[in-house]
Amino acid sequence: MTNLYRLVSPEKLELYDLKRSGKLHFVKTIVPSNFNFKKIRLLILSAYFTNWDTTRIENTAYQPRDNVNLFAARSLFEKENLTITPPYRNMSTGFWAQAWAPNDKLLPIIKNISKKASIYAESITISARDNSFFWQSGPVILNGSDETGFTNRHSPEAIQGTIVENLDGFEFKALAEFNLFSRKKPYALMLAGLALLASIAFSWEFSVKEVVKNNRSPALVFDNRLHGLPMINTIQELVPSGAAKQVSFNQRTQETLLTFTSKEKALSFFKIISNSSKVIGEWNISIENKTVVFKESGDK
Amino acid sequence: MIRIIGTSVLVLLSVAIVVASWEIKAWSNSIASNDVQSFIKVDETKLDKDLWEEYLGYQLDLDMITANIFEISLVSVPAGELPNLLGKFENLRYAQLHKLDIVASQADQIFNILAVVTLN
Repeated sequence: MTNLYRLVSPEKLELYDLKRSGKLHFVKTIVPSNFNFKKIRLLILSAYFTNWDTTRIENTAYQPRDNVNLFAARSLFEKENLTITPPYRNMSTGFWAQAWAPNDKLLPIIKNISKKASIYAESITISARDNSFFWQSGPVILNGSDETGFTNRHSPEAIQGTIVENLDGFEFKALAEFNLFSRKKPYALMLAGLALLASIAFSWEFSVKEVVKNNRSPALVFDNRLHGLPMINTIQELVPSGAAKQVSFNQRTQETLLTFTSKEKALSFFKIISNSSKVIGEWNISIENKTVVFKESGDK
Repeated sequence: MIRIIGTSVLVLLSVAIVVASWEIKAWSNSIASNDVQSFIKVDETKLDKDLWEEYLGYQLDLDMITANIFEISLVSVPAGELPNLLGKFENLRYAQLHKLDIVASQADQIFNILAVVTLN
C-alpha cells in the first residue's frame, strides 16, 4: 500500500491508497493546516494549483529538453515565476502535455514538504475508467480526452452529468514529475566510494596480501644441523694426517661418510675406530672400499 | 549535510587505509631486513647468486638440478673459514640441506665444498 495525497485546495487534502495497478482508493479527507507535510512522499496537485496545456507535434523525432516550456508563448507568467514539469508525450495520440504552477501558489506548499516527495499535476497523471466521468479539480471540472490522451477542463456550468468530488476508482500514472528540488547525483560521494575501493585494492596488493599470506602459510623452517659434525670433531685426532680425502654429510640417509686416500688407510682407521671408546654408541660403523660409513642408529 | 559527512568519512578512511598499508609494508620490510635469510623465501631472489654469496660470505657457483633442487659449490676454501661456512649451512632455515661434501686438498690445506639444497 502506498499513500498518495491529493491537495485539492489550501483547505482540503485527501489521502488515497494507491494500488499496484495504479488504481486509487479514497481513504479520508484531511485538513492541511493540521497535517505534517513532511510525511508526504507522493502528492498530486489539483487544478487549483496547476495549469496545463497540450499540443500535437507532428515531428516524432522531436525530443525537447526537460526544462523547456512548450507553452511559454501563451503564458502570462514570467519564466522565473513558474515551476514546470518536463514535457510528456502520449505515444498513442502523439500529443505533448506540460503542466506548470505559479510559484506564489506552489512555494508555500513545498517549503513544508520533504525533499524526498514526488509532486505531480493531476491533469496529466489522472485518468478515469472512461471519458464520460467528470471530476472536480479545484475550481474546474475535468474529464479524459480521447483526442489528446490527457484531460479537458470545463466550467461547472457546462456540465450536466454527475461530477465526482474525489478520485476514488481513478487511475494514477506517475508522469512528468515537478522538478522542485535539485536532486544532484552524489558524484563526490561516488568518487569517495571509488577512492575507498581503490585504496583497499592498493593496500591489499601493496602489503596486506603478503602479510596475510605469511600468516596463513608461514615459511617452512628446516633443521639442518649436521649430526655427524660433532662426531667427526670427536674422532678427528684418530685420523692420520693426510689420510682423509673427503667428508660427506648425507642428511637424507643420516650418514656421515669419511673417505680416505687409500683402502688400506680406510681399513686401518676402521680397526682403530671400532676398538675406540670415543666412538659414540648412536653410530653404526661400516666400511665400503675406501670409505668408512657412520650411520645414525637412532638409539638416542 | 549527510553527503558531505559521508564523503569526508570515506576520504579519511581511504587516506587511513593507504597510510596503514605503507606502515604495514615498512614493518614487514624491517622484519625482512633483520632476517639475513629472508631472500630465500622470495621467489624472485631465492636463486640470486649474489644474495647467497652475501649470506655465506664467500664466492660460489649455483647449479640447478631441478626447479627446486640446486647445488652450491665453493672452491678453495681455507681451513680457517670452514667452521664459519659449516655454521652458515647448518643455520639455513628456509632451505633444506640434503648433502654436504667437504673435499680436502691436503697439500695446501684448502677445501672444496659442495652442498645440495632444496627450496620449499
